[in-house]
Amino acid sequence: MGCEVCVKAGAYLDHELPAREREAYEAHLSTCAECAQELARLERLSRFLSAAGTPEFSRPQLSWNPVVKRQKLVRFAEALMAAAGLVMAVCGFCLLKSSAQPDSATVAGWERMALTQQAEAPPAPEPEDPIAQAVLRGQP
Amino acid sequence: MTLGMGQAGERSALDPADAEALRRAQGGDDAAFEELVSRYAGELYGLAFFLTGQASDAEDVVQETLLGAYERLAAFESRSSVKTWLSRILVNQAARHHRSQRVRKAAQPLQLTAAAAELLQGAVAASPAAASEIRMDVLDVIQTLRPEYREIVVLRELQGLSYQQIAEVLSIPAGTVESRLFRARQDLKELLKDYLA
Repeated sequence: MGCEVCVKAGAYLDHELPAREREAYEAHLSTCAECAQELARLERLSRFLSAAGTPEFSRPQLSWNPVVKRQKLVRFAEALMAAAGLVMAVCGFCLLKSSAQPDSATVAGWERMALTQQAEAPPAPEPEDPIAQAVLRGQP
Repeated sequence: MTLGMGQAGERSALDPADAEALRRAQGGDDAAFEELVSRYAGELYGLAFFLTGQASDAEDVVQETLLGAYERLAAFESRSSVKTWLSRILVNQAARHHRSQRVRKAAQPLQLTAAAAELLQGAVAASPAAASEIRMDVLDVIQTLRPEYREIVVLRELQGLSYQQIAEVLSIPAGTVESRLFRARQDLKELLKDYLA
């Protein structure tokens, strides 16, 4: 592309040149074979591309409902996850609290009974052996 | 095949019907949102079809676009038209889809059908019967372009957006639209040089 004005062909074709530039380009066009050829090429290219037309939109039902369903599903899943997170947080808090301060009510029944019996049991009889009695009393 | 948007004043003026549906949709009316996006579903599908190159992929991209639009509905401030807004979401979704696919057709060689070749060689119009063949040729040609060139060619040549609208959809300066479109067309001319000579 030897002529510098040729770069304006696209904008001219697209009606994007300001009025003054457009007039100058048109004046130049009548004297420049290169620009005229470039413009003709772009016109043919444009005609070819625009001949593609609009492809048939075969699924008009696609437009909205599946999107709404998906959106609602996502929102439901988010709400479900939030609720599950809340439940887990509450459970975790309760677990931490109970492990830090053991509740007497949670002591097993057999353990409580064993402790009670131990407390109520009579003291063990003193051994009859005099040596053993001396040891227990701490005498030499 | 154009989106039919005005080239001026888009920033300040939503289509009145769009504005009403948008107001209700933003208020939580799902039926209004459906009404809003249904107006553009066909055009969005066309855009997705040429960006992805596959009908099934295009459906996925449109689906993701509508989901994205629904999620961003509250944040939409009507600074652009609904069409531009939806197109912007779709182009981003298509780019994400393309990155995940990592498929790009080889640039050469291209064998076009007779009807497409005639158009490129200067025929005034193609027969209606050849339309689907030409569409597949266009699809093949577009798929060989770099993603950023493909986007801009589809938005301009197939969707008929103005440079300002393209700038809004792609979030690039308007001056970049012109230069990128120029380079994309250079690539297309090179690709089709045997037919454009």
